[in-house]
Amino acid sequence: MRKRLRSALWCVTLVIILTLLAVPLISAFTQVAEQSPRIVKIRGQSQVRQDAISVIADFDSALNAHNPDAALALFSDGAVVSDLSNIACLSGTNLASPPCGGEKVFTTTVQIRGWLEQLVKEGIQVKEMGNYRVMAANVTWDLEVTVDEYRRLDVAPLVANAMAVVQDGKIKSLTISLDQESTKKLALGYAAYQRAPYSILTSGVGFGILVLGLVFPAAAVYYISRVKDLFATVPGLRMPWILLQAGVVSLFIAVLLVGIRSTVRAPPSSLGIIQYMLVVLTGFFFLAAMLLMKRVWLVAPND
Amino acid sequence: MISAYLYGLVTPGLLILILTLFCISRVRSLFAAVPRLERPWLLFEAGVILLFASLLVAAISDSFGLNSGLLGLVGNVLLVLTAFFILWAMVTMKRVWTISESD
Repeated sequence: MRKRLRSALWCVTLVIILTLLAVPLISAFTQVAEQSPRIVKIRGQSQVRQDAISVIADFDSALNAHNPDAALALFSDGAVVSDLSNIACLSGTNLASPPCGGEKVFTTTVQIRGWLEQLVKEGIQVKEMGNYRVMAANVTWDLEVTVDEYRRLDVAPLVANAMAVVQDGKIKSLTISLDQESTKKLALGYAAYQRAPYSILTSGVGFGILVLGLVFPAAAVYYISRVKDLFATVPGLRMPWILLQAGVVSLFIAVLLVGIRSTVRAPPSSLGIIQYMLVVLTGFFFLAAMLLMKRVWLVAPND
Repeated sequence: MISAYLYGLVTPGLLILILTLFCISRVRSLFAAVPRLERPWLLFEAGVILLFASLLVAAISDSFGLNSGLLGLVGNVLLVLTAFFILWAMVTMKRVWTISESD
């Protein structure tokens, strides 16, 4: 009887000790699970529509409505925006931000407003891809981004990864970057754009303009030779007309280069410089012709 | 385009074209004795002005990194118009000279 009582007492004591040990352990594990970034809690569809998600949705709606004021109102005081995409340094930007290249960080309200205005200026449109992941106050999600630059490069839309910290219904920090595949796609788009800054041959009108541009100087060269013959009676005027012809030939080659550049998609730095030189040479030949013509004309009456 | 090339080419180019315009106006006054030659020289001047504008547009688009199709097209259209005005000037000059001879 005594033995039974003793063993029962031991059992009760053991249960009490185990309970006392288990409670703080479970509590500690729960806290770690809430705070550790390694432990990800993917929330269900029913929990997606909570405060943090709705703030993000409001932010996207404000961007799509091109309303920077509404978007700015969703940021808390002291909010930080990190933009790792290239949108913040597209041409024409007037952001009060560090020079473009690498990560662009906006830490003041003025800078964040500038960034938002730049997005609006670039005609931004975002589309959620619906895969929100929530860890405490952190929300990460993927979205499709379209701006005028991406449309021009024919790479729109690009996929971006976004991460925000939302506290008390306000965005405390926001980081946006293009995903790896989109970064590659954008780089390829720029490379193609650099190879062919424009192509006059893509439309019928452009092709027509180019043909006329070749026919006009060719005909002008012929007419200059005819005018040259008509002025043959005036002594010393032959050379100025030849110089004028040389100028028009330079113009013909310059127009021809426009067509060649569009056809072979040469980089602007190589054929572009030759084209500039030819235009300048045309001007030089015209100037030489006129100077000589003026001199000949002034000398002739004295003779 | 590298900016040194840009300035090295475009600046003299623009200056040369301005000088050309001045010289054409002088030559035009020298040809004043020949009847009906005023118009061809004016057309030639217009051609040189368009060449100036074409070079300016190209320089602006390169300076500001605007490789847009629209500016490129405008520059090329100006180049083609230059050729058209020079052709028109020469055609008019030839016709005026031929008529003068017939008269």
